[in-house]
Amino acid sequence: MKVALWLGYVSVSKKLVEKIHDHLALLDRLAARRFNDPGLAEEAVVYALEKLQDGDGKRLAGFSGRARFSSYLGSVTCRLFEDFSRSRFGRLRPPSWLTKLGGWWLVLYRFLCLERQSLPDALNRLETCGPDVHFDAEEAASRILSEITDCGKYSGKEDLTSDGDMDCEPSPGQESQVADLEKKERGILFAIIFQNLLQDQPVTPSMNDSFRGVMDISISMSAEERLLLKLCFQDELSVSQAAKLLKLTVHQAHGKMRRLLLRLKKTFTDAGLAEELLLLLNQEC
Amino acid sequence: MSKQDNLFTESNKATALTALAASKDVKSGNCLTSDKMALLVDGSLSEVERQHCLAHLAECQSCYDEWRLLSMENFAGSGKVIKGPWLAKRALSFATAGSLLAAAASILLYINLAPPPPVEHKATSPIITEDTPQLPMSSEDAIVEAPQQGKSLVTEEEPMPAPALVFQQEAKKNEMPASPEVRSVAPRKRKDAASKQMSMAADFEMEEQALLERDSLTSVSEEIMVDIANVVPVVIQKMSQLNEGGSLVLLTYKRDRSLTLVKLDQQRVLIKEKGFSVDEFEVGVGKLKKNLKSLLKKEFPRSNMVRIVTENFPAND
Repeated sequence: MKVALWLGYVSVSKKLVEKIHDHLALLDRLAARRFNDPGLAEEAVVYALEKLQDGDGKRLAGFSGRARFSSYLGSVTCRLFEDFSRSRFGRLRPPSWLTKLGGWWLVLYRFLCLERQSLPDALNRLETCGPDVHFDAEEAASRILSEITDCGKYSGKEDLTSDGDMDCEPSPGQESQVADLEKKERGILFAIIFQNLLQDQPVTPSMNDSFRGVMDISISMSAEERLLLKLCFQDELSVSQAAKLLKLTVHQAHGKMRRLLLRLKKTFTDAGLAEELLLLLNQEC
Repeated sequence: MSKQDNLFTESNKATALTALAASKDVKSGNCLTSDKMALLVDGSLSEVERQHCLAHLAECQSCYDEWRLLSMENFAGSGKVIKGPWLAKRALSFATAGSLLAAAASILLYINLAPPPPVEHKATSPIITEDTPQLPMSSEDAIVEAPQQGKSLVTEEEPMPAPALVFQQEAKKNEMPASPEVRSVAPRKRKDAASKQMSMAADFEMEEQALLERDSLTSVSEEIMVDIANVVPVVIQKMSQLNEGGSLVLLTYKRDRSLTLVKLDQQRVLIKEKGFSVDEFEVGVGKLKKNLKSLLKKEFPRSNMVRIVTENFPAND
């Protein structure tokens, strides 16, 4: 009985290894998309393969069989890639203004500050990932380097100072510092967001007040709407690509997007946003 | 201006990013398990579960990144490069299948209605001449040899019907079975027609070969259908494989708009745009990807599949 069980166990683990090896191409593609560097991607795949086969594939034991095996394996592998990245480069949390900008800004931050790439290398790698033509990578990189003074000087310890959701409350003495930091980050964030609209116009005091006021506006958006905005305006995917990801038709996605933008503009108007900003936001409509 | 361009204005972008910045991050539960993530990517979750997962993705950057990576891979994986328009990615609907059947039926009908080719007529009018020497004949031909001995059967164009055929027609009219001698003419006729066709085809092939050999610019062309999401990598890969002077033509499904990329040398590519706007310009290989993306957005805004025709020339030795 024991021998039969043991034989069954051996054959299962052998099958698992075969199954993983059948999906090697998938792992390669995922690694290439995640790291945008062939050498790094290869190392990551080797790391993931080792970890997947550890303990006779215990990492894949949670597979219920309801989803496709390739999707499940992809998900587990993505997490292993994240582990690999952390073991290789450490863990560094971007400042909140960068997190809010998301998309290619975060990718560029990862290249420059986490993986400590030189500026030309980072720009080259970003070009191979194929960001949209609207994204000015050079401008973004110079902004990141100028705002994050210790970019690329990572000491190996996890940086939590810039994390917005820290558990501990600031002491009364620190409140003013936190407020200053928030104000500074808000300033950077909105300067970047309105950069193209403002062109060379100076930021007026009323605009500054509005920027502060924007953060207090309660905007109600469904998860799907948020994701649609993130996919289209942070990651710069086309509406049809975003529609595919959200399992919508292209027409549904276009309609949702149009209605959502109108609603947001109305919310900003009702909240009493500065007239200069409203004019900027409502132009080209 | 397309629908897409209308949405992606600077003011809309600023509105969207401001809204995203202003919306409060509310943690919605734990991160998704790999199984749940796989189900979400496959689209196998119930609507309630799906909404719950999307709510988490909207707040959690790491889960969002994983979902996006897997979903993009899922679509890229399913949109493999497909050769030929018949094997399009989408499954054929009943309507399409019906249309195809109707088209096939009409072609068959046309073939049946069409008059027989002239070669067949040539073979049906054998005449007997006195001048021509007697040809060595098979046993079949020996039976056909009639009514006079020593006369050979020559297949030449002649309006007059052969006596044997006249006999056959007469026999048909009188509902009499045709004689075995007459029936055996058919294989001979078919053999002649086939051999003539083969010799013509061989001549044509030889001529073609000679022309191709004479012309040093022998091109090899190939057409494939590619999912719009994969066009850029496929084009870049194909451009790297092309020899100098080779070109790629990107066409819409209806072939009404096109982008032609001609590889001038290892560093330069000539792009000819012919669609919503007509333009011609040179770009470096490094800038090709960027230009291609913007051109695809401009000229193929609503395309799902793009035809890629490769015209390659052998390298000059």
